[in-house]
Amino acid sequence: MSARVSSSGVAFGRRTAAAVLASPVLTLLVFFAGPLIYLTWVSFTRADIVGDGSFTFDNYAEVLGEPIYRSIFLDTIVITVTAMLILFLVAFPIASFLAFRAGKWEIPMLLALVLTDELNPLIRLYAWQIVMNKEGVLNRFLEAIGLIDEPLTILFTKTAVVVVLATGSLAFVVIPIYAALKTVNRSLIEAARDLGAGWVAILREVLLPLAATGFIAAIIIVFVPMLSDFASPAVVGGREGYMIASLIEEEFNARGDWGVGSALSFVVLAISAVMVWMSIKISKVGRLQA
Amino acid sequence: MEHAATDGARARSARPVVRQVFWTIHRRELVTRVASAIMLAFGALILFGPFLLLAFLSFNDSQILAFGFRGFTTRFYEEALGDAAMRESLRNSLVVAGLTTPICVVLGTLGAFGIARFVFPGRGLVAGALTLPLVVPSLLVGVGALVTFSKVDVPLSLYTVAVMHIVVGFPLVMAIVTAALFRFDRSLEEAALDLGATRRELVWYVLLPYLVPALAAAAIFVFGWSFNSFTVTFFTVGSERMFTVWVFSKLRRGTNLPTVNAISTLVTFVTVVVVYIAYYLLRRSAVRSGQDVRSLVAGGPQQ
Repeated sequence: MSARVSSSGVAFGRRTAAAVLASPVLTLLVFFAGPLIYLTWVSFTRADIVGDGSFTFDNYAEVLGEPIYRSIFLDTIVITVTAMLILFLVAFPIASFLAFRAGKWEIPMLLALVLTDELNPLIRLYAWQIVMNKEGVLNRFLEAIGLIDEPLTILFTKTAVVVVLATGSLAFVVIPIYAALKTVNRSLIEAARDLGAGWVAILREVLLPLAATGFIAAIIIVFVPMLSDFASPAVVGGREGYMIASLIEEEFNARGDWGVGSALSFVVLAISAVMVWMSIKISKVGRLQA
Repeated sequence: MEHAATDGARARSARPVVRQVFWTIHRRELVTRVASAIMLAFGALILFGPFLLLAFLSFNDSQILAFGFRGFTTRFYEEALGDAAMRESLRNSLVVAGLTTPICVVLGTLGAFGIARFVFPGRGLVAGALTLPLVVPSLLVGVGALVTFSKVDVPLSLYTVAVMHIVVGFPLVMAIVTAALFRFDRSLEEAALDLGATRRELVWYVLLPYLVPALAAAAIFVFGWSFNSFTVTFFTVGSERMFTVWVFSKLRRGTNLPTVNAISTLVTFVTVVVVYIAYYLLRRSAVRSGQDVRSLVAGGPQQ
C-alpha cells in the first residue's frame, strides 16, 4: 500500500497533511489520551476519603493480591472465552455459507446480520431475560418436548451470561470472517480437493489459515468489548455470573474507590492485550504475511 | 421374447444402481444443504427470536409473563408513550446521536484523507493511534472520562456524553472511509490532475462523489452506535436520561415490564425500517458510482 501511495504523483504536501490531521489528532489527545493518562495516575494514588494522595502501589497490590478478585478474574475469562469459542463455532459455518454458497441470498443475509447489530443491545438483553426466566419460553419449551420435568434455573447463572454474550455479537464475528473468506481464491479449494484433500484437511490447511485475519478482527471487535460488559452480568448474571466489569462499575459508583477501580480497569486492558496477542500468535498471522 | 425379458430385468436392476450413484454423488451435497439450513434457522432464531417474543408480549393483554394469548391490546403502547421519563430519554439519545454523527463524519473523513493520501514520517504511528479508541475497552474510555471530568470540574451532562461518543465514533468513520479510499482506483486521480484539475477540484469533483456511499454508511453506523452505546454513556451521563441507561435502570428492578416491551418493540421496528431504507438508498448510490454494496459492510471483499 505504502509503495503505491509514495509512487503516485497525487500525494499532497506535509503542511496540508498536518492541517488535515490536526483536528482528529487533537480530539484524540485531549479526550482519549488525556483521560487514560489521568486514569493511570489515579490507579497509582490512594484517592478515597482523604483526597488525592501520593504515589502508591496499594491499589494494584490489593487488586492482584486478594483471592476474591482473582476468582472474579478467572470467572470473567472462563465466561468470555467460552462465549467466544461458541461464537466461532456458530459463525464460521455461517460465514463460509455466506461467502461460498449463499448466491442470491448473500446480500439479504448480510443485511439481516447488519440489522442485528443495529438493534439495541439493552433491549436484546431484556428479551433474553424473559426467554431464560424460570417461567420463560425456554423452560416452557423444554418441558413441552419432555426433556425436563421441572423448570431449570438458567437465569442468574454463568450459562445465562455466556448465552447473552454469544448471541449479542454474532454479526461482528461473521462479517470479518466472511470478508476474509471472500478473498480466498476458489481455485485454491478446488486444487486442494483435486490433490485428494478431504473437507477436514481443506478446512485445516486452506480455509482456517486464510480466514485467520477475520478471526483476529473478530477477537478485537467482539472479545475485548465483552470484558467491558457489565450490563449483561447485571441483568442476567446475578451473583454467579459476576464479572470484572461489574466489579469496576461497583467500585466507581457504589463504593467510590476510584483507585482500586482504575487499577482494575488496567487489569482489563492487560487481559485484552494478552488475549489479542495470544490469538495472533496462535493463528500465525505473521507467518502467513511473511 | 427372452430378450425383452432380460432387458426388462436389467432395467429393473439398473434403477437402484443409478439411485445409488446419484446418492453417493449427492449425499454430501444434501448433507451440507440440510446442515446449512438447520444452522441458518438456528442463527435466525437466536438473533431475532427474542425481539419477536417482545413484540408478541407487548400486544398481549396480561400484566404477568404469560404465553397464552389473553387478547390483543395496545394499552401498553399508550402507557409507554405517556411515560415522560421514557420520552425524555429517547429524545436525549436521538439528540446526542444527531449531534455526534456529523462531527464524527467530518473528523473521520479528515483522518482518513490524512492517512490514505499523504506521505509523512510517523504516518503508521498516527494511523495506529487514531484506531486506538476502537481497540481499547470502552470501560476504560468511560471511567477515564468520569475521573477526568470530575478532576477538571466539568459537570456530567449530555455534552460530556456527546464528546465521548465523538471520540469513539470518529475512528469508526475513519476505518470505513480509509478502506474506501484504498479501494479507489488512483489512476483516476492522476487522470484528473493530468487534465488540469487543481487538488481542491480533485477532492470536490472526483473523490467526494465517490465517497458518498461510504460516508453515508459510516454516518448510519455511527448514529446507530451512539444511540445504542451503553458503557461509555453510563459513566458520562451523570443524572441526565438516555435511552440505554433508562432501559438498564428498569431491568435491574423487574422482569416482565409490559411498557418496556412496548417501547422496545417500537424502537426495534423503527430500527428495522431505517436500516432497510438506508440499505436501499446505499445500494442505489453505490451502484451509481460503480461500487459493490457488500464492500461497504465487509470492508471490501475484493473481485
